[in-house]
This record gives sequence, C-alpha cells and structure tokens, in this order.
Amino acid sequence: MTSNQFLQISTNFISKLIHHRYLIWNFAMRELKQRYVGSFMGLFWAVVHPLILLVSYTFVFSVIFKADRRWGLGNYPVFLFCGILPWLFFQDTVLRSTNSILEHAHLIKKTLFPSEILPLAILVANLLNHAVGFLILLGVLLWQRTVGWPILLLPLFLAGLILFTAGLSWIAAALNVFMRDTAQMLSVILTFWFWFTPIFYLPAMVPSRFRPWLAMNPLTHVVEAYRQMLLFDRIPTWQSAAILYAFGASIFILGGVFFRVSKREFADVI
Amino acid sequence: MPVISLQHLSKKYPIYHKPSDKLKELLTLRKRAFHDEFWALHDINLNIESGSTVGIIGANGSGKSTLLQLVAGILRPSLGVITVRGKVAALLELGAGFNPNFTGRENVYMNASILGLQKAEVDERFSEIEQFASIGEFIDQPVKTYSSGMFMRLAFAVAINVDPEVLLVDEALAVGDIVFQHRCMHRIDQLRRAGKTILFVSHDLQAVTRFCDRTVLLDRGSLIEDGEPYAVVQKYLEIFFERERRQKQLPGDDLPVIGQIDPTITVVNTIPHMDHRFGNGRALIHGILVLNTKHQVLNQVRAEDLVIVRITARVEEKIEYPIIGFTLRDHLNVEISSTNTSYEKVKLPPANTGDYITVDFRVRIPPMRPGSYSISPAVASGNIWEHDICDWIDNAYILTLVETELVYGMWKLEVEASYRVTH
Repeated sequence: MTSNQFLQISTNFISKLIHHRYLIWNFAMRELKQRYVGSFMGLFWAVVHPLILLVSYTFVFSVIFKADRRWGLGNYPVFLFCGILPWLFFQDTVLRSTNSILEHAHLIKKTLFPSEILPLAILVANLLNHAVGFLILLGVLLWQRTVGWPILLLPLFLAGLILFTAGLSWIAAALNVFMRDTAQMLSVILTFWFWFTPIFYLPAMVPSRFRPWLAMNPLTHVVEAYRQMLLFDRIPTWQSAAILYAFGASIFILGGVFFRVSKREFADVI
Repeated sequence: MPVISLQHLSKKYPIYHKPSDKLKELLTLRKRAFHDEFWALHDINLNIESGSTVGIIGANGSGKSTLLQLVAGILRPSLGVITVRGKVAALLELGAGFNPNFTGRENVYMNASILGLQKAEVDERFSEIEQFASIGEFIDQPVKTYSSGMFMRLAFAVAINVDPEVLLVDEALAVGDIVFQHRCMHRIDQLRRAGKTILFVSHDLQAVTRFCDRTVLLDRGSLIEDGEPYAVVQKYLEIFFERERRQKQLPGDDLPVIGQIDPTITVVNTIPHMDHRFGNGRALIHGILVLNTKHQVLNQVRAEDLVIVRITARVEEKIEYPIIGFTLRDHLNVEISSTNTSYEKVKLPPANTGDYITVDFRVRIPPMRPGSYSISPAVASGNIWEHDICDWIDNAYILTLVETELVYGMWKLEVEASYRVTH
C-alpha cells in the first residue's frame, strides 16, 4: 500500500462515517433502548446503575475499610468512581463490540451494510451512559465543594480515549469474525488490564520499576487526568496528553484500516 | 452504457473438510492449500442496460442468489470485474434488521436508514410507506405482535419506497395476500416505467415471462442462456425435466380407477401447431382437437359454449401412472388455467408400450375477453403433487373466442346490479 492509497482509503473511510451519522445514531439509540426495552423504568436504569455503584463503594470502602482516613486519598469512593467511569466506558465498548458483527450477520449477508458503524454505535451509546455517570459524579463533587476550570480540558482527554476505544473495538470486532475465541481472550486481557490501570490505587503507590510500564498504558493517563481535573483542580501534564494521543491516533488508524481490509471477507466467513 | 456490467465474474468458496485444515492453511500463510474449491459462479459475462428488467432463473444452487449478492456488493468476486452505476437497493431478505421488540414506526426508520436514507428522506416518505403497508394502528405496536403477513407488508413497503436506480429482488415478490401482491406488482411496474433497472431472481416462471424484458438462465454456476424470457424459460424447463428424468417411476394418485370410460372416444392424431416441445419421451402427445358436443371440430368458440378438449397420447415405454392435461393461455402467454386427469380425480390405468390413451375434457368456455387463446397439452407420469413430464407441447391448438358481448378486462364477472335512491 502506497502512502497515497493509504490516505485515500482513510479519507474515504472517515467521510463514509460522517455520511452514516444518522445510521450510527439510530443503532446507538437501539443499543440503549435494547438494554432497557420492556423494562418498567426504562432509561431510568441508566441512572440507577452508577448510583448504586457509588453507594456500594461508599459502604465498602468508607464505612467498612475506613479507607478515607487510612489511605489519605480524601473521599475514596469518589476517587474510585472518577477512575472507574472512563474505564467502564472503555471496557463495555470493546467487549460489546466484539460480538457486534456476528450479531448482525443477517444484515451483513443480506444488505449492503456499513458494518464499521456497529462498534461506533455501541461507542456512542456507551458515551451517553458515561455522560449520565459523569453528571452524577459532578453532582456529588459540587455538593461537597466547587470544581475549578481545568475541568474544561476534560473533553480533550475524553476525545483521546474515544479514538483509542474505537480503534480497539474495530480490531476486536473484526478479529472475532475470524476467530470466535477473541471474546474469551479479550475478557482475560481486560481483567488484567483493569488491575494494571491505577483505578483502585495511585500511580505513586506502584514500585518505581513498574512505573514506566504503567506510563505505557493509555488508560493510566485518562484515569489520572480525570482525577487531576475533577478532584484536585489541576491541569494534567502535556506528556500524558501526548502519550494518550499517540496511542489513540495510531490505534484508531490501525483499527480502521484493519477493519476496512478484513470487512471484505465478512460476508463469506460469517 | 450498461448500468450493470459483469466481466468474467467468478466466485469460489473454499471447502474445508476439517476445521484443523483451515488452521493448517493459516499457519503455512496460505502458501499451501488444504481445501477443495467450489465454484459458485464461473466466468459470467453480462451487460444490463439502464431501464431494463432482467430475470435470473435456474435450479436451486445454480448461483442465482450469489450473483445478486455480488451485484449488490455484499460479496466480493474471486475473479473478474463488476461495475454498477447508480444507487442500488437489494431486496434479498425482507425485513433484515427488523427488531421484533420495537414498533413498526421505529423499525421503518431503522430499516430505511440501513437501506441508505437520511432522516429527512424517511420523514418525507413515511406516510407513503404507511399507506402502502396498510397495517393501520399496528404501526405503533411492537413488530412482535404482527402477523407474518403484516410483517412482510411493512418490510416490503419500506424497501420499495427507497426509490433506487437499480433494484435487486430475490424471491421477495410473493408476499402477502392477493391485494397486496397486486399493489406490489403495480409498484414494480411503476418503477419499470420510471426507467429503473430491475434484476430479479425468481422461481415463478410466470412472473419472469410477464415482467422481464430479458432473462438469463444459470446452471451450476454458468450462464447458459440469455435472451427473450419465454424462450429462456422453455430452455430451463427442458433442462430441468431432462435432469429430473428418473429410472424409477413416481407413485400414482391415491384414487380408485374409476370407470369414466367412454367408448365413443376416438384417437386423434393431429397437432395443428407446435411452438416448443419437451419431456422425457416415455409418452408422446399424438393429437389434440377441440370439438363441440356434436363432435364437430371447432376453431372458434363463444363464451358459455360447452366444448370437448380431446387429447391422445401414445405410450413409448410402459407407464404405471399416466396423467394427461392441458394449459389454457391467452395471446400474451399468460396462463389462464390448467387442469389434468389427476386434478379432475380421474385415474388413468397403467399403459404399455404402443398403447394410445385418449382423454376428453368437457369444458364450459368462461366469459373471457374475446381474442385468441391457446391450449398446450401434456402427458406425464406420477401423481398430482409430483410427476415427470413425458411430453409437453406449447400452444398446440389455437382457439378464437368470438365476441358475444362486450368484456372489459380479462373476464366478464357474473354481476347483478340493483339500486336505490335516497333523499
């Protein structure tokens, strides 16, 4: 592939995604409604889930473990919640995307269907879920104190995370068409990844010889940035943004190209 | 310039005998093949001009659906080139993407966006779609509460209102009740007249001859015939019945051999006309005549006349369960009606080589539109559900229906009109 071809494929791919925004939105809405369809409270469940999570953390960590005082991290449940929100967005999107192509096999075999939008629709749906969780978190924070202007930088980090998540979701979705054990493999990898991301702990608690490895994890920078901005009113370092964007952009492009190329075989293999 | 152009198009599928073969192949980076090849389509060349309606026929597994999927861009050809100009809508499966838990309205929006419409375009066409499907208030009910007919109607309504330049249809026409089928046919006719290109796969040979300007015949992945629909359909029937020719004869009908034997029946031995003939040759049509009740030969009939259609078949090889019948067609080759001995619950006795079987069908001529009609006689062996055609002659006898009263349309209905004026 020459660089010219590469550029052409990429711009085609992106303009197609923009062209299909209505379709993406439709699938995202369906994805959301499907989770709550037929349920009595409907979309209210989207609020209940993060709320229950926050309440349980408070009970376990603040009441039972008394972690707030012992670890000196301030309000530990809020600390935890800050980290776990972007992580859940990332994990849910990648996991749900893995099966998305196979779930819509009939569409891929029977219609000319832009299958690349499926992982994106899941991403958009999870983004809305993420927004709900984030508003709850913000509410809790504002109840206790004010939140400074660095929060305005949050979309920058969220955008980096979106790029990274989208790219990885494409790779997972396409791989799973050819190797059905991708989903199993991924859940193992994601479990490991979860504990290797400073969600329950601070990076400073990690022994120094592991720290360079931790810095290679783009999720570290997202979680850290969220905390810096929300809990400490601090601007994250530009290095963490750079690392996140280096990963995000390259995985996004890699995932897009990988999906584009393997997509041709989908209808034959499914 | 053709809208659809296929050049040396081939599609092959690898057949792996064990899953581990596939792995072996991956591990050798596909340098060695561990599979057999199956060619679903082989070297197809086809140019389709804008505004034409082309039918694709062929037995099951001949590659018809694969061809449509390739034209639609769903599958990629293994060899060859496809060029398609214009927006394509593929009706390969009605209601693909319909989710039973969502309402009809939600599914219409979803399905239409899958078929490539933006929201504003769906808004614009929604009332038309709703009207076309005519499912009333069910439009706001979950699709799982629909009858299968309603489901199909809604799905078809969406697909047909997408307004593509090229429409690909796979066996989707035979949906819904008669009223709906009429509406579909009407809509497809409209699309044809609007200059859309239609490519459609069907087993309904009648529909193919009626709707298409051109028909192609696929056989085991190869294009073997391409041309005027009627001729191609005949070729298909010929090949099909030839292949179906069996060593063992099919069982007969579960009917007693009834003594409808009429000693006044005589063998007829003229075949006035022969458009096309096919069959396995175990028996041959020997003659056909249409007589009045005084046994005078008729070429002209009137509505309500009682006539006798007399058909003689000569048996060439012993047949256990012979069936004789005929098809009535109008001048456009549209099938008006068919019948045979089996259908009329007359079981013919087993016949030996050299026997002549002659059957009289007494028919009341219906009040059809005046004009010329043809009778195609056939002899077969088997039962009403399953039989091998021994001999079939197209349009062997031509009848003219003379005008006795004015008929609008195809048929004079039996009508009694009455009235009342109220103030």
